[in-house]
Amino acid sequence: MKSAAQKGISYSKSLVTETGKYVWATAEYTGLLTASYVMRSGNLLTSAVSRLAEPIKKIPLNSPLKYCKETASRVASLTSAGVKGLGKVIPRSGVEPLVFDPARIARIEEMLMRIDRRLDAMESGGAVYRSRAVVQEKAKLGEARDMLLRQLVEANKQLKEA
Amino acid sequence: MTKPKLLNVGIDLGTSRSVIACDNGMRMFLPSYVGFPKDKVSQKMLGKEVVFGEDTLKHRMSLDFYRPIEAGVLKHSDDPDNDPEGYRKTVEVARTLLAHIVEQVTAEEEGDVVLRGVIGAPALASRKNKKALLDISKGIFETVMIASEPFCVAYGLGQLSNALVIDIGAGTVDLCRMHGTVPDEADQITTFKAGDTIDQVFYELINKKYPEAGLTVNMVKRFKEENATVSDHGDAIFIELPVDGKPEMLDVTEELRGACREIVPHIVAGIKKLVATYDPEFQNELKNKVILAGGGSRIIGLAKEIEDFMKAALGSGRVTRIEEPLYAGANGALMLAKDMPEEYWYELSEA
Repeated sequence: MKSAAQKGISYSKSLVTETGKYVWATAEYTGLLTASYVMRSGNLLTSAVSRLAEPIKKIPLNSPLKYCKETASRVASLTSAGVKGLGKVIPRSGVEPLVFDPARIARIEEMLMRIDRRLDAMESGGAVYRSRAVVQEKAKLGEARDMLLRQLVEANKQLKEA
Repeated sequence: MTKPKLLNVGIDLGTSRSVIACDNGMRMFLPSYVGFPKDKVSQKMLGKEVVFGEDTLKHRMSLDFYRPIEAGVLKHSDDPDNDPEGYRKTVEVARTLLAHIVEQVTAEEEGDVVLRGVIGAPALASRKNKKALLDISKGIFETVMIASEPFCVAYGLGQLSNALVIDIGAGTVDLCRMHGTVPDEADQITTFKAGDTIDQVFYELINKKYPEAGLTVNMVKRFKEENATVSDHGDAIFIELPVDGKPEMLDVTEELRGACREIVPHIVAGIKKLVATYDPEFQNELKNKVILAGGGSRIIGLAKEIEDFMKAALGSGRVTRIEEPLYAGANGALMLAKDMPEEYWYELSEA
């Protein structure tokens, strides 16, 4: 039978191990989440630069503006290469688990992928990501739509006052 | 202290289904049924104090069952003074239903949430009907607005000019012509020959053909929702019903087709009236932009049937069914809520 002291040591050991696992898992989770956001921002940046460069691509080679075209192409390739490089440095889900609990890491990865898929599905349906919804300004309405909404508000004000 | 999140919600409180769409990407629908356990025993058995949607039908025997919306509007809201107790109970039940569907789409939100909503009402809902909707939304929304249901559909589709929207629900069919402004009474028609009429006629026709079969309106309603058609083509339709306790497959093709056709002449009469009283210069454009929405628009062959009637009565007509008829009203209401400038919401909250 174990003595009280041995039991205490065993308990402390198990506590330290568990806490260690928890801290490591949290760090892993934060790292993966950050990687996910960095990748998304990178993709967004590439797409934005490509779009900006689109009209420049159309400049003919004999045009005096051809130097702009060359510079734009370089910026676009550098941005794209940067993002791709970042992707290699921080793979989306390829971090080798260094902890003793690979099942937990797999669960976290699965959870992140689920969040990613969910975000994709929501964004493809026109939904706006919540943290952006607060700061997002409303799109400018055309005069006709604005008048329609004004009429609707007036009708509702009358309804409330009746 | 963190700033509360602001969420916009679009709602279509229907006789048969309540549909909600929220700008956090969540949306859902639920049959507009609410049930309260009859006693402590049934409450213990059900494990909840209130039951919603399909569950109310499953446990109907142990529940006090309510359908708070009738013919598209809150029951007793036409004349609340006539039955004050009935109206009070209806408001309570409808508010419980509204709070429930709102909770379903906002359940994942963390922290404080402020809600603003647009609720659709039948095209020709009275002032009292609309006031009743405002009554049930108190305490749920920070600010709420009421808009005509077909107008919400048209707004959501961006069809604001020279278009005719037909929203086929369970209690009403709402027709509304759009001409670039908020439609008034002259632009809208409501008929009460709608989904519930089809259920009732279908039920009576089956009873007449198979008097020995055991069935209820709810049974035929569920069957109709999956098989409704007015098309002369297609396979024969069989329903499984108990005859003297033994399930049998009964042919109800003609009965279902006949019941579904019941609403068509009323819709076409409404179209004819709205087209005939429209500016002659734009009548053709209006006839060629007839849009079907609402759960009833899923009846197979309905668009073609209406087109044929229109050709006979008006010379021509083009009818299209929208892609998501069930969500069209709630989606449009949500778009209205989202597009509404801040100052307009503020004005309304101060009114």
